[in-house]
Amino acid sequence: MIQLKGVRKSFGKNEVLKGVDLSVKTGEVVVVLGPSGSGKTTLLRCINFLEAADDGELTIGDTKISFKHATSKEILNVRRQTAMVFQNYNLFSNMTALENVMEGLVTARNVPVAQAKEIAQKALDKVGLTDKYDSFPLQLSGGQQQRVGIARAVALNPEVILFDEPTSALDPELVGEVLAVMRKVAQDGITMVVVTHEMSFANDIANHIVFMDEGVIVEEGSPKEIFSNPKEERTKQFLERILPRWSFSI
Amino acid sequence: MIFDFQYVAASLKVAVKYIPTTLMLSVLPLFIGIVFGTWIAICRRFRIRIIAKLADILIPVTKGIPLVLHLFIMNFLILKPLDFLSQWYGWADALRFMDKTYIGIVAISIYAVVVISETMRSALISVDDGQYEAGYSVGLTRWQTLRRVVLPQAFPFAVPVLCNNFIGLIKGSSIVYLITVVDVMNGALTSAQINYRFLEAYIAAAMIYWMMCLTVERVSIILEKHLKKYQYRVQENNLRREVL
Amino acid sequence: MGSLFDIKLVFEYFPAIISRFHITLLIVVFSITVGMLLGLLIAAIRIYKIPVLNHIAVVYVSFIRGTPIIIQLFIVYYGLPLLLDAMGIDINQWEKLYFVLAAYGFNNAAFISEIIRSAILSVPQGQREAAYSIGLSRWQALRRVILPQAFLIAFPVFGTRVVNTFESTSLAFTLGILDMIGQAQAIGNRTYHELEGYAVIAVVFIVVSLLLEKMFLHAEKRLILNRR
Repeated sequence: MIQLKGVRKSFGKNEVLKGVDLSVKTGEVVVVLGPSGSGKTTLLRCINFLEAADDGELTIGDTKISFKHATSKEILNVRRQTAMVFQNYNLFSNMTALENVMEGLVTARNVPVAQAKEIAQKALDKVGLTDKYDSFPLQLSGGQQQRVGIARAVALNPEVILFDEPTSALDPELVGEVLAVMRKVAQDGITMVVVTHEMSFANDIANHIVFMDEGVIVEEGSPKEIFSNPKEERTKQFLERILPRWSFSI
Repeated sequence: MIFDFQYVAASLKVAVKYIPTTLMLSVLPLFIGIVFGTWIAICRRFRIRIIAKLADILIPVTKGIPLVLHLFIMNFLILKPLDFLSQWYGWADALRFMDKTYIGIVAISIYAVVVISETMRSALISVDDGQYEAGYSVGLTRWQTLRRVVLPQAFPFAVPVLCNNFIGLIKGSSIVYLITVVDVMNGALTSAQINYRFLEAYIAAAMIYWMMCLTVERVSIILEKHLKKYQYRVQENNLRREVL
Repeated sequence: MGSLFDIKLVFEYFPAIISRFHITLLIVVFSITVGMLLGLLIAAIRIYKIPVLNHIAVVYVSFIRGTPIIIQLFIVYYGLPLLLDAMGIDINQWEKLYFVLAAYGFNNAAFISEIIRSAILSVPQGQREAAYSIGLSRWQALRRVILPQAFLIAFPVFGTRVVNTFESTSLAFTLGILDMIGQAQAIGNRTYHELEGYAVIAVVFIVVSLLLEKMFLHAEKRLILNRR
């Protein structure tokens, strides 16, 4: 279980997170929605300390860490219990697909190479890239790169995988293959926190939806509650702006 | 006086023997520069306490001092105390008249560290932030990320510039003749001291430096081609900034 | 000899040394100007691949880039009179400063030609094609599209070149020019206090090169802002 309490973060004078509380149960898929600039990506990046939050508390498993006083050892510990899928993939460009997936196992977690290789191959098989073990990132399409990114996260068997707009950098025709892989991962019962703009996808896989605006959580609930019956005005406005395009699929 | 190739050939013959000295005066500083320069660049990239702040001030300042001034200052700082001591001690007197190549190496090394630290700094910056973040996200430490992900990507980027730096050091090392070290330049000039064929001597020296620099350039091109295949870089590094 | 370093002497020597600064400035300004004119010519020769001249230009640029400036100085000093003498011009009475100016000018011509050439070549081919597609002539395309873009690319490199030239003028004294270093050495020979003079020069070089860098960075920012 992951719990965030009172997370605050400012960039200079601009306060991006104004005290956010969030809890994610094991095996749950939480989707974070909100207009751009609402702080959802920053929130996600605070969870694994890619962004250093100014204030607040993080509970992951049985450890509780305050953002203000986190030691580098605690940060490393959190990072070894989480994994992230980035918007622009961020595959290690000096490594092949297989090496990308193995890196976190071998170097960070001291898994023996042979065993890591087996895990990595399984992960790549799962995302449908059996024939791309030895390709470098630049030789892969965006969709394939992102699937390697997902395999890299899944192979680590983390407490939670953080997805930061995993499909927004993709060409429209490649979005489907990545969403399909994510569905598969969700079905395996892996805990996920997903920031996305794909509404129908959110509706399909989320157990819990969080709507953020201007640095606070405005409303949260089941997909049904949020999509069919939003209570807050801001949520309604946001959905009205976004949903007409999607309404026929919900 | 009429230009005479015979004297060029004669000067060349002597100067060639001093190629090892010139190489020592440039390869050693190159090596020292890469080791310390990379270290300084890493400290600055990761903003490591005092070192980064100190380097922020010292590197631009030291870069402003011409190499020849480094050499003169070093020469003075090392020799003048010996002058003083030699009034009483024989060994100090002996040191004074020793080969001064080491002074050249010290001065050129300082210069090399400064120049190469800037090269490595821009090489480190050329690696996208996302690569660091991806390293952290799979649980690598800062040092592991650096060693496994960032440096392997930064070095191919740095190699052509380092070769350029090396050429600069080879050429720059020619000034050690000003403190009487016998390198290629000074070697070429030895016969000219007797026959006053200075133009021929300088042309002979120029030929050797030219050949050395062309060789480094050729090696650089080969290395670059070889390293190209490691340059699989992420192109879209400005995507995240849009979001926040 | 007395103490190694006397801070009082630094202030005492400062006026005498800074009074030779104009020589350094003259070398920089002159050689950059000449370098730009000659460099433009060489770059044009190389880009349009004018036969014979192109080969000469390639060898010339390679020679200048592959040899120390200090050697170029002496080759010009000893060689230029011989060369011009063969053409019937006598320059044996020239002041040494003229040879220094010529040598730095020749040096910068090679480096600046490379800056111009690579800037022009690095303008994407698509820009040229787009210019032709709207009916611009070759010359119009060059003047209206290619050169303005190449200028923006070349400008920062050019700034570095100016700073480098400034630093390399520190070698002009080897020919016997009484610039700042020449002055410091003259004082040093007289008083056995070289270090104070070197300290003065170091400060001047540091301050001026930092200022130059700042200036070019500022200008670069302005330029880019105006174009976007």
